[in-house]
Amino acid sequence: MTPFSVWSESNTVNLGLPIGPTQRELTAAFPQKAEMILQRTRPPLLETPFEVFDRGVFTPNDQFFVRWHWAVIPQQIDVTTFRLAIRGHVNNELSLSLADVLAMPRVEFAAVNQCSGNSRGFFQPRVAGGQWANGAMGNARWTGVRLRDVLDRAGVKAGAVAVRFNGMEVPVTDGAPDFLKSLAIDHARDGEVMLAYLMNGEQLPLLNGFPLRVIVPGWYSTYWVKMLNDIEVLDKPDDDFWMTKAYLIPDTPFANVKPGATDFKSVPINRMPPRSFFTNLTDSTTVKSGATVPVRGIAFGGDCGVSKVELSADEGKTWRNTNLGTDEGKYGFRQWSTQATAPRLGRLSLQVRCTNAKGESQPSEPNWNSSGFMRNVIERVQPAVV
Amino acid sequence: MSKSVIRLKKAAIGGVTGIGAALILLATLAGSAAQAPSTQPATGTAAPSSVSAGGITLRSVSVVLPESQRTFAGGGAAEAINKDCLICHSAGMVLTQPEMSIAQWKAEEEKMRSAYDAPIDPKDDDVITDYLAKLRLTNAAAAYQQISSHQADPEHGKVIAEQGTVGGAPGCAGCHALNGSSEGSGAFPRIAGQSAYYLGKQMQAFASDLRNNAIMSAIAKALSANDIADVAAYYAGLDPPFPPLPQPAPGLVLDGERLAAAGDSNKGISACENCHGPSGAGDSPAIPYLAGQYAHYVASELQMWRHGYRKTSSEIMLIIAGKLDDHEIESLAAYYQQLRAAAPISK
Repeated sequence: MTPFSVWSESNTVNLGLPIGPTQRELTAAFPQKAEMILQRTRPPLLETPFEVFDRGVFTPNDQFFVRWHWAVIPQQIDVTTFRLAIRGHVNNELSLSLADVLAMPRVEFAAVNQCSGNSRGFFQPRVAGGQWANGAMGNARWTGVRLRDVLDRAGVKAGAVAVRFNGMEVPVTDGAPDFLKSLAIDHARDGEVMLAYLMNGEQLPLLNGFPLRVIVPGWYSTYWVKMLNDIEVLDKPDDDFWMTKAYLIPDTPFANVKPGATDFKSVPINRMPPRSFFTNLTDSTTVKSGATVPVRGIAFGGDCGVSKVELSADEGKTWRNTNLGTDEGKYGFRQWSTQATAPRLGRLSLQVRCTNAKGESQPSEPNWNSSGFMRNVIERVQPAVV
Repeated sequence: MSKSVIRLKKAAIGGVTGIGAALILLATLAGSAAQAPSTQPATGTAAPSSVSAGGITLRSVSVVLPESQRTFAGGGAAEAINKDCLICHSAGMVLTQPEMSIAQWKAEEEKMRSAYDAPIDPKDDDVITDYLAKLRLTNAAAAYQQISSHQADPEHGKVIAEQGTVGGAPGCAGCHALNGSSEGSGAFPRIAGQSAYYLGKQMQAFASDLRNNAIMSAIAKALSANDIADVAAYYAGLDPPFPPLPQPAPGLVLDGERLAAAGDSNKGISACENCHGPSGAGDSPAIPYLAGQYAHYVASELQMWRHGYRKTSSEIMLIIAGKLDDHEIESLAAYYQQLRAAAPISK
């Protein structure tokens, strides 16, 4: 069955998931958030309604997706008492105030933040987990300080291996693993990883990680630790649950394995591959017979820029380039646009494919793994001709 | 709850959060009505404190996150899942999972306990997976009804029931009677008032040989998908009287009633009521009613499951029936046959 999306005018939305519960409630009940698709109330999982992505390459803060692991989330942040600790394998352990952080050299870039399990609901065979459609992603202009500068201020000791991040969310039970993520020391010090205090020019919504969030451009959102208040430099590899047991992918191209397979090596999820989407057409759009139809959408290259976005109107036999919009930065969304001619009868069948600056393209067959991670298959849309 | 301690917040900034969450948690567990999260305004203070440097100002934030008052429906059958699962997360994501096997749900349950320290009482394990297995059936029913495009015609269904089809299917009425109460021997189930979804699903299972029966498989194969939907809609809409039958031995009925209501924890047998409802009323459209069903039919189907001959969808039935002995099967069948008043008419 071809997935389709119906954007509802009522307070529910049909995500077009293949068989099974596909209706979700729309809610504006969350603080600092406009209308979102409710996947779970506590801890919150809120998905961006897909039509938002047609309005521009920057996702508004109040409709940016939300995903928390644990239910005990601070609901009050006092910026005057907040401290960021930098500790572990460093010369000088630090406790920085927000004023300290704001006073440090500032950097800014656009980057896509995408959940590892974005689009999990389209996996077949289906897998357990948050049944996201394609809206567990967003692009923002992030402003903050380089992690490298913060680490240099503390003075990383020789022999450091990794940098581990801890935010202020806490498990409900005391035996559950606190949510910790780490990056290899060289990655952490690459000058790109950022601690952001602004998102699209404003302080982050609490649910997106106020007051500080790790930004790991080109990598999946699991590393973008929210409400960051603790950085630990490790002198040995991180053996914590969240790096060794959870968020693992098969070490295969596109993290793809056959359902049921077990003969593969697992590694922590890491960089994002390219993706592209239609934003102005769905399977429930209607187009006029023989009409010239404007076709547009968004694309991103993953851990590098977009090289080209191509459209196929013949089931992938031939592809032609589309026009790319303004380049707002290699890690961000890039708008693409073109036109297509509707047939006289039936359906207009279109596919879109992004190739990134490294020459990597989206696959024509969907990947599969038991966690529902890293979907990036070529998207298809089939508006009906009337 | 005995093993795990509900954690108040770790040392951090400005947190009444932990206590708030714990209080709301208690409210959630105590609540019964399924409700959407309520809109709660952020608790605004008059002038939030702020920090400025380098031309940027950050202001303190105080919000209230909505809490879900929704619990898993189903009364006693849902007690364990409400008690053990809602501590850490609300129900919504569970209710929107795709179809998963009992083994997959058990793996999730084990992950929650061993990796995430969920305080799931081991003796609740089967009750929770039974509940989730039932959820799978009800989800499948809902999804089917969502994608089904054929507008069933019960009048045409009645014609098929009475006369059969030109394609060679005989009329259903010969065995099941035109009113769906069947001919009284118990060899053929009462189908009147069973949901159209359930009846259609069984017919499709006969047609695809997922469910084996020499008579029904041949008939189902001779009917089109639309014919099946029409005849299912016809029988679903009937509510005829029950034919008189001999009373089973009272002791047998009592044994059956006990097992149906409470199961047998020593043998790992779940209560039938967990899915088939109190007094065998079923849970339309996914779960068939058993009240008033012929004992002969119920017993023979349980034997089919017990020995692995019936494989239609209900993995849970394979598991439970596999643990039943002949006496238990006989007593359950006897109990449900005499429960006539509870048989519902499906909508």
